[in-house]
Amino acid sequence: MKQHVSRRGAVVVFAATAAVAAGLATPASAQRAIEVVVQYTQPQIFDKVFDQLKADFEAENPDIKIKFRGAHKDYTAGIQALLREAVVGEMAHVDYVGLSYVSTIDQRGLAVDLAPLMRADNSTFEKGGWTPPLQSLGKVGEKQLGLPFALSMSLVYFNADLVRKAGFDPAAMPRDWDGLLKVAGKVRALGPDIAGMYMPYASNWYGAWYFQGVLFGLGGEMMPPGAQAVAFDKDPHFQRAFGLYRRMVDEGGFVPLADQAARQQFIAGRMGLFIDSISRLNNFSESIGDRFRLGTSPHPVGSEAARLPSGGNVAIITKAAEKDPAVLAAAWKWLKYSTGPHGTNQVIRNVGYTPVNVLALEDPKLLKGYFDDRPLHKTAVDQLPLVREWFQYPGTNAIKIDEAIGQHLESVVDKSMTPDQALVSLTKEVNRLLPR
Amino acid sequence: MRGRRARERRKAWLLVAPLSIGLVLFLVLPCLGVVAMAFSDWHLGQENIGFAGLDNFSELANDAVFRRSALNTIIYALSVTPLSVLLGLMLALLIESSTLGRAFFRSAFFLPVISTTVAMAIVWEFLLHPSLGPVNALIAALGLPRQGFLNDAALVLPTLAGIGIWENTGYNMVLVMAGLKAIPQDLYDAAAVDGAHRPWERFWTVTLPLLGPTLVFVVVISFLRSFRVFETVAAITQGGPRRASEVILFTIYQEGFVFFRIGYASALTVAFVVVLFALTLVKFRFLDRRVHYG
Repeated sequence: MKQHVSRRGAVVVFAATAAVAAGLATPASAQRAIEVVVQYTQPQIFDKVFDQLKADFEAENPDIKIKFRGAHKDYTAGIQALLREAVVGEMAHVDYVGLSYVSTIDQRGLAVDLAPLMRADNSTFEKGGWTPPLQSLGKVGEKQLGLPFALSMSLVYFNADLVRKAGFDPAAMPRDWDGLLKVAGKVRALGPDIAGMYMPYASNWYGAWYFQGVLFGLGGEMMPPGAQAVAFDKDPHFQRAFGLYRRMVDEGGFVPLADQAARQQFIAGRMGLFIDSISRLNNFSESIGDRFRLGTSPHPVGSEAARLPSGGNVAIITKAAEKDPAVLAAAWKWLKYSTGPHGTNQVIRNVGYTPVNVLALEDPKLLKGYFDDRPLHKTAVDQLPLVREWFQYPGTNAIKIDEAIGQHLESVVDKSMTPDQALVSLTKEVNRLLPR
Repeated sequence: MRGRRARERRKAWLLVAPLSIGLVLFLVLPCLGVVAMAFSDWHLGQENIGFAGLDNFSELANDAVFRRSALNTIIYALSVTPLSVLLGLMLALLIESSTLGRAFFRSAFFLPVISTTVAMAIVWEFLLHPSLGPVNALIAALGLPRQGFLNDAALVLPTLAGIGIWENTGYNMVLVMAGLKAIPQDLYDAAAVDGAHRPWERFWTVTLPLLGPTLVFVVVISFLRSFRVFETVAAITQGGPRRASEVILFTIYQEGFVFFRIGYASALTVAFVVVLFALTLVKFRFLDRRVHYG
């Protein structure tokens, strides 16, 4: 604890020195550009965005050079590399890490708290366009460890042709589970090799992210605040959520498949509904082409208190940047730029996702009006007020717990357990994995 | 005399030094590191590392996932090894027995070995897709029910083993071909003089005994290869459904690099290597005794 306090103190001192140094060193730094090393993942999605941001940023800040390390293939590979680099002291200065790993980064103490840097700027996160829900994604306790860069949420993709054929209006898709399951069931009945619906559920640990969408959408909590143990089997929200997975199979024509196989089937036009992340939008649209008309509708919810978890990544400044106040200041500048209105604008236009900075939405040069003629994309933007953090269980077994949830959902879907049996078994397993 | 021998010995050491240093640096030390970490509670990226004694190993003994994946791996290896060796042997004999299209068949059957497993896994996934795949289209055309080859807990391991056989057969075939080339023609002539005219007799009296050493090698190698199955599982099934296709390397990967439990993953690795090493020794001993080295 003591160490943490002194570290935070150090950050403030560094930030202050950095500000002073930046003021004093302007003429000298014209010769020696400060290099900020940046690491991101998923080159196929983000290369274009980052190249553009780098060009614009360096034009505005000639004294800073952005250097990218080779992008990792996905968030898992990215965090693995970061943790290894932390051991040998070779972290990049700025890293874009998957949202589910924020607590991992906090436990290891790898990131610089951004709040003191913001205070040293004499500004606030709100003024910069990061609303409290957006801040919460990179927050652990009082520490602001990161700011969102690319943000995704679940929503319903649907095959509008099949929905119409089944006798429903694609323009008025139901927002509740009962209505949606009815649509899916009718689509299923259209033919023997047509599936009603799918959502990723178990094939990997991130199946738990989609589950959080179901549970939070019903107003539930993964763990009551302040609790030391879980009791899913006695939690009405969990009972409803697990019951829904069984109902999806029984009523909604849900097919037990691996995610990739299910996506292929949806793209081939033989599935009614697919609940997936908005980050898939461009991928789905391009793969589908004009095979059928693609539609999107909001994620189903069942409560006034409904929320939806966010996926995607946050930008952090690693402790490696702390060594040199000038680098820290430059990294902070880049982080604000890439997660700010300009970064948001680039991500939305080039890839999809949902906006991570509300200032961009008010600027006609950026995103104001952009979504008006893009109804598929707009569905996700409209859900933005519901966003909350991707919940992580405390302790070192957090990811293993996510995997256990996926395994149990799998048992519900393939009917080797009833929802109640699965909840009893899961409760036992999660309590074993939680820190004592 | 003595000075010369010492000089030679020095020279010998000097010559093997680069390799030895490399071996120690990149093989021996990392292995020792893994053994050491197996006794720790280290999580990837954590600053402090604690001594865990035998905790990891006692967890391993009671870990239902590990038992499941060990069993799956053994079943997989025991189905892939004999079938891919047998098929490899048959293909090699068939192709070598005639000059017709030899080069073509040789490369056709070797193709699965040189192609990227992960890419091939995705092709297989599509071929076996329950509603889109051609395999199921054929099954449905015959009036039989469609099968979820990769989504049915009862079918997934046999299906993966089938892909494994497809992948390993070509490799075994090439090794057996090399063995066949080494059998001198005069032995066949001598056998013919002794009255072995029929192909079966020639195979039984000449080919098989002389192929013995090659076959031992092929069996051991393909057993080890199939024990290391990982790519198809990681690319297609992720160990599912419900761990029906979870294999040891995938469990180790998950524990170490997805759950970040390096200590436990190291313990799994140590156990895996020990078992593999023991099995290899037993195999060589057992098979060696029955093999005739020409």
